[in-house]
Amino acid sequence: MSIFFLGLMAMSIVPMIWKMSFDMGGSESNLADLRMVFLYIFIILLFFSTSFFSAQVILQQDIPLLLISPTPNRQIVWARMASVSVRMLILAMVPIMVFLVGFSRGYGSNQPLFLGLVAFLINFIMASALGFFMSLLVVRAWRVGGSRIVMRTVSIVVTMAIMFSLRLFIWMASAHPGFGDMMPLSWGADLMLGRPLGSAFIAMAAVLILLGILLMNRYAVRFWTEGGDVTQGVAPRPSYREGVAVSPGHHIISRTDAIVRKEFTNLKREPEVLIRLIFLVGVLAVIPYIMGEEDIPGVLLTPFFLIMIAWTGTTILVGNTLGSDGRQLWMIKNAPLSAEEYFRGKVRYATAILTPMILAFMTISYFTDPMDRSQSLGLLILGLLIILGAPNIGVSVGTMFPDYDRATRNRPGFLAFGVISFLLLLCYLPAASMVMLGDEILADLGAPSTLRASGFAMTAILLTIVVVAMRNRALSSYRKIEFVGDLAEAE
Amino acid sequence: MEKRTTYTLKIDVLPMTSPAIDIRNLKRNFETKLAVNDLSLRVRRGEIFGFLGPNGAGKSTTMKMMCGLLQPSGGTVRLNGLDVRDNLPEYKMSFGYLPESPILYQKLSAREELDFVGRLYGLSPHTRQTRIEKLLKVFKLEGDGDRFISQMSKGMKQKVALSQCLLHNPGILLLDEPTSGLDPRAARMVKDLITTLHDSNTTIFLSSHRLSVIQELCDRIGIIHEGKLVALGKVDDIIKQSKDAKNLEEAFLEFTGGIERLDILDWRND
Repeated sequence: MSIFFLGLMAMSIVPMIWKMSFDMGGSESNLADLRMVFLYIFIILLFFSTSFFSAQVILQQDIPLLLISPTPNRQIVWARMASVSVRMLILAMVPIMVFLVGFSRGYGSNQPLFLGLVAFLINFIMASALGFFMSLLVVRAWRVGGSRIVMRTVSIVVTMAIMFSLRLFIWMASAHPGFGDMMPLSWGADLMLGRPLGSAFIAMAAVLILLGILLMNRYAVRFWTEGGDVTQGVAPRPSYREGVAVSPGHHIISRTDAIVRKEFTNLKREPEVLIRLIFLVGVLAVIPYIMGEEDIPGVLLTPFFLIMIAWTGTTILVGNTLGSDGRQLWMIKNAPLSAEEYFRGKVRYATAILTPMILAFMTISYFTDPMDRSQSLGLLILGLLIILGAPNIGVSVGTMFPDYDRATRNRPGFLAFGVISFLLLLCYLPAASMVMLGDEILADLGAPSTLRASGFAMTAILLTIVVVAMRNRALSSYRKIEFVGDLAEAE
Repeated sequence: MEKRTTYTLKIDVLPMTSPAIDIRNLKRNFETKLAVNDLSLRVRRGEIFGFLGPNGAGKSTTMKMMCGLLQPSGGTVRLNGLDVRDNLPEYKMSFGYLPESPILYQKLSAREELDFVGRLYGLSPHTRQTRIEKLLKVFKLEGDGDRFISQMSKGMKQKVALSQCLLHNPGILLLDEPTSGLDPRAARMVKDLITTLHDSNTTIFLSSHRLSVIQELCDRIGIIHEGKLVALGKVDDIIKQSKDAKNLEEAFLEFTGGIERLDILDWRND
C-alpha cells in the first residue's frame, strides 16, 4: 500500500516536474540550475538511503531470525541492502525519467537524456554507498541512547525541509552562479551536458563509491549483527485519580474509556503508524503549494488529498478493528463490555487521531492554496463530514471483515481494504467535486448557486445511511463472534 | 485396546440451595462433530469442582460455553441463576475465566494490562490500583509490573492472566489448567490460592490434566469423554465405581477408554 501511495504522490507532481525541466532545458542558464538540481537530488537520495537503511536495523524484526540461518551474515547484509537500494531506485525512477525527458525536449537533443541517466545512476550509487555508512552511525547513536520517536520525527522535519528547499536552491543558483561550481557533488550536471567537469565527476564518484564499499565491507556486518537493546524499556505506570466518586454513569464511561486508552497505549508503542500519517499530511499539504507556485490551482487536488488522508488514516488505524485485538479478543468478549461500548471506544480512538490530521491539512491548505471563500467553506464541510463518518465506516468494516492472521496487526485484509475504499469514495467523492466548484466556475457553467448546497446535503444523507447500516451490521457481526480455537471466528 | 464398559452414573444429591453453576443438557455441534453431548452437572456454591478428560474430550468447549465465548447448540448454562444466553453484564461480572493458553496484549505492561481489564469491569480507580498492587504482590510480580508482557516468561504471563481473572473479585472462577507453565513453587502458590478462595466461599470450576492437583484440591470431579460425562462424584467414589482401578489415574483411564498400546518406534521401520 505504501508503494501505491508513494507512486500516486509521484504521479501527482509529474506535471510540475515536466514543466520545470522543460523550461530549464530551454533556458540559457541551464547548467547552473542543473547543478543545483543534481546537488538537491543527491541530498534527497542521501537522506532517504540513510533513513531506509537505518530502518532496516532499527525497525525490522526479522534480522535476528535471518542471522541464525546457515547463510553467511555478510551475504544477508548485502542482500538486504541491495533490496532496499532497488526499491529506492524504482521509486526514484519515475520523477527522474520525467525530468530527464522534459529537460531533453526543452534542450532540443536526446544527449542529456542518455548522459543524464548515467549521471543519475552514478549519483544514486554514491548516495546509497555513503547513505549506508551514515545509517550505521545513526544506528550506533540510537543504540547508545536514542529514541525511535525522536528519530522518526527528525526524519519528517528534514524531509519537509528538503521538499521546500528546492526553490531555495534554484534561487541560490541564480543569485550566486559560482555556488554550483564549488560543489563537486553537483558536477553530474556537467556530465549530463557533456562538459569537461563531467570527467572529474566520474573520477570523484569512483573514489566515493569505492570508499563507501570499503567502509560497508569493514563495518556493515559488525553493526548489523551487533547486539543492541532494542526493547523499549519499561512502561510508565498508569496514573490514577484519587478520590474519584463512582457516579451512576461511571462504569459505562470506564469501559469505553478502557478501549480508547488501550488503543492509545498500543499506538504509543507503535509510533510508525502515527508518524506515517503525519508524514502523509505534510507531503500532501506541500504538493498543492508547489503546484500553486507553478500557477496550477492546488484546489484541484486538495479535496481529494483530504479523502486520501481519511482513507489512509481509517485503514491503518481501524481497518482491521477486530484483527488488531486478534488473539486477545477473548478478554474483551469475556468482559461485561457491550458491542456498542466496544464500537464506541474504537470510533473515539480513530476520531481522536484523524481529527487533528484533517484540521491541520485544512489549515495548511487554507493558507497555501489560493481558494475562494466558497471553496474554503466547502473544504471545511468536507472535512467535518470526514471526521464524523470515516471512523465509523472504518470500524464497521474492520469489525465485519477482520483478518486475524496478518503479521502487521494494523493493516486490513484485502476485502476490508476494498470495502473501506469503495465506501469512502462513494460517500466523499461527490462532496470533493463540489469543493472544486468555486463561484466563478459555477457562473461559467451557468449552474444554479444551490448546486453546491444540494451536493453536500446529498452527501450527508448518503453518509448517514451508510454509517447507520454498516454500524448495525458490524454490531451484529461482533455479537456473533465465537471462539472455536484460539482465534475468534464470526459466523 | 481394552473393551469399554458402560457405567451407571452415581450423582450426589445436592442441597436445596440454588447451585452456583447449573448446566443442563448442554450440547455443542461443530459441523460433523458433536463436541459436547448432553452434558448436565451442578456445582454448589463454595465448591471446588474438577473437570477431567482426555485431549479433545470437550473440556475447553464446555468452559467456553460457560463463559459465553461459544454459543451452545442446545441446553442451558446458568451461573448464579443467570442464563448465559441473556448476555447480561451481570453474568460476565459473576465469574472470572482463565483460559488454557491466555494470550495477553504484548505491548502493554503487566500493570497496564490489569488496569485495562479493571476498567473493562468498571472498577473505580482506587479499587483498581489497590487490587492490582495487591495481586502483583501475591504473585511476586511487584518488581516486574512495568515490564512488557512480551518480555515476560510463560510463567509470569500465566500469573498476570490469573491476576486478571481475580481482579473484579468474582464469586465463580473458571480455571483451565491454572498451573500450566508454572514452576513448582508458583504452582504451589496457585494451589494455596485456590484453597484460600475456597475457604472464602468462592466456587471454583477447575480443569487440569494434573491428577495430583485435582485429587488434592477438588471436592468433586467430573470426567468427560467424547463430549459425554462418564463419571461424576467425589474422587473416592469414582475410584470405587470403576472396575479395577486403585487410584484416580487408573479410574480416569478406565472411564476414558483404556490405554492404547502403541509400538512407539514403529515409525522408524521402513
